[in-house]
Amino acid sequence: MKGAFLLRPDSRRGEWTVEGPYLRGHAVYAMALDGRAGRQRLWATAMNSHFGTVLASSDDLGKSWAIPEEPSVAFPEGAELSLKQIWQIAVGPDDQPDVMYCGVEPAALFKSTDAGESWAPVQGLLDHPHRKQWMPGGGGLCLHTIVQDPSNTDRMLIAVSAGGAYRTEDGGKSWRARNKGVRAEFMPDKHPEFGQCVHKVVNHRSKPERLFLQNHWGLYRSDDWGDSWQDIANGVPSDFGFAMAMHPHDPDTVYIVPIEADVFRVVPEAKLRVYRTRDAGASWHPLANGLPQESAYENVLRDCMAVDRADPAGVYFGTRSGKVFASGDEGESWQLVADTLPPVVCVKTAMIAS
Amino acid sequence: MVTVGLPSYLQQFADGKDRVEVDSGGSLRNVLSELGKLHPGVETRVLTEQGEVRPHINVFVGERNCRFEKGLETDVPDGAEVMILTAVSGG
Repeated sequence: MKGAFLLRPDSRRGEWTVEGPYLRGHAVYAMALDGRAGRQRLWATAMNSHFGTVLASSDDLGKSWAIPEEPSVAFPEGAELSLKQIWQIAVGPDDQPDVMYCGVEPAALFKSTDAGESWAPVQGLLDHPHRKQWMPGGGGLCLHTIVQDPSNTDRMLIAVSAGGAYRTEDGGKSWRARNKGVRAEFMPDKHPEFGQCVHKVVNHRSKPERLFLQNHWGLYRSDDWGDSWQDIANGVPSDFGFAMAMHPHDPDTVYIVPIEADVFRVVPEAKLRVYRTRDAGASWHPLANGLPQESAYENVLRDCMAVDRADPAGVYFGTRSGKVFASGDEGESWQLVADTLPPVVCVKTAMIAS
Repeated sequence: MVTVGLPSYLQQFADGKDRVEVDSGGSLRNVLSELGKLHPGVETRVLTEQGEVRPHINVFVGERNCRFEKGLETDVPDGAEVMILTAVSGG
């Protein structure tokens, strides 16, 4: 909430050093590293509650930042919308090395075709007839999730709180609500066409059509790019939660952090537990070795869990109370690597050649 | 000539200056527009992309908060002082 911190491990991911804060005083809700086309460019959103939000970039991993005089992500004149927050920065496909996306509040998708220099809203979604009926969730009316298809760059699924999931098959020109089977506890009709408060959706590069979804009440899987969703809350203490992360190498393995309830947003029984499925949601099991199991009134927000690409994979998450935990063994054991940070609203990983 | 006083955050977008002289009077909108020609990073942080004063920013003409006058149409007489201030919001 107060800047960007970089945590670097030693070669065994045992000892960690904390650098920063960078973009001091700004809320950093989204980060991404663009390593395409010879770049090593770190992107971050910097929100000042008085002066607005800009997209900043750094080519030296945070030591210096390029902050545009005029915000590059901004609604056009006449749109009657003003940018509040950038919730997601997504690097585009490898074969389109200058394409990037941003998900913003008020809910809209922005696209850049010049590696983040200039941005424009994706008009097909901005003009969607459902848009006026979307309602803000607790964090605002935000487009926070961007799921790409590495095998088809015209296909993408996005999620809005609270509008639900939408998919395009034509590069963003048209979008269809993809929420069949996902419930909306807070609506009179529990299964509307749209209006669900989706919290996070993930997929795996090797099986992009299979999606996992953490909902505002509900844990789901789709095997058909969101055309239909099945309940997979099998063995979790609560199906409420925010964060969700896909294993980097195994498309059947997903991590979540269940939260007790919308009206009590802390981990169940005040025990901080990550839950993992290794069978695509048929069963979930707690991972608690090294995590506090008493009086841990913690919450983990939607973009606060990430994995690295090592083998075995590292898994990381940050809490509202400013703690960051790391696992170097796929979640079997955990270590506290930062304790007294400001509230954590975004955790991202990048592997960088040293 | 109108003098515009800047809060500390905005000074990084105005070559480090805490006051900027703008060669224009008329409406507050004109003053901010002239300021934007000198320092575009200041204007875009005071006004949204739709041209409205950001919700947690207060712009004073003399001792009058433009929000309670005519907004961006508030008259700024020659020699006046405009102050851009951050509202006390949040904890």
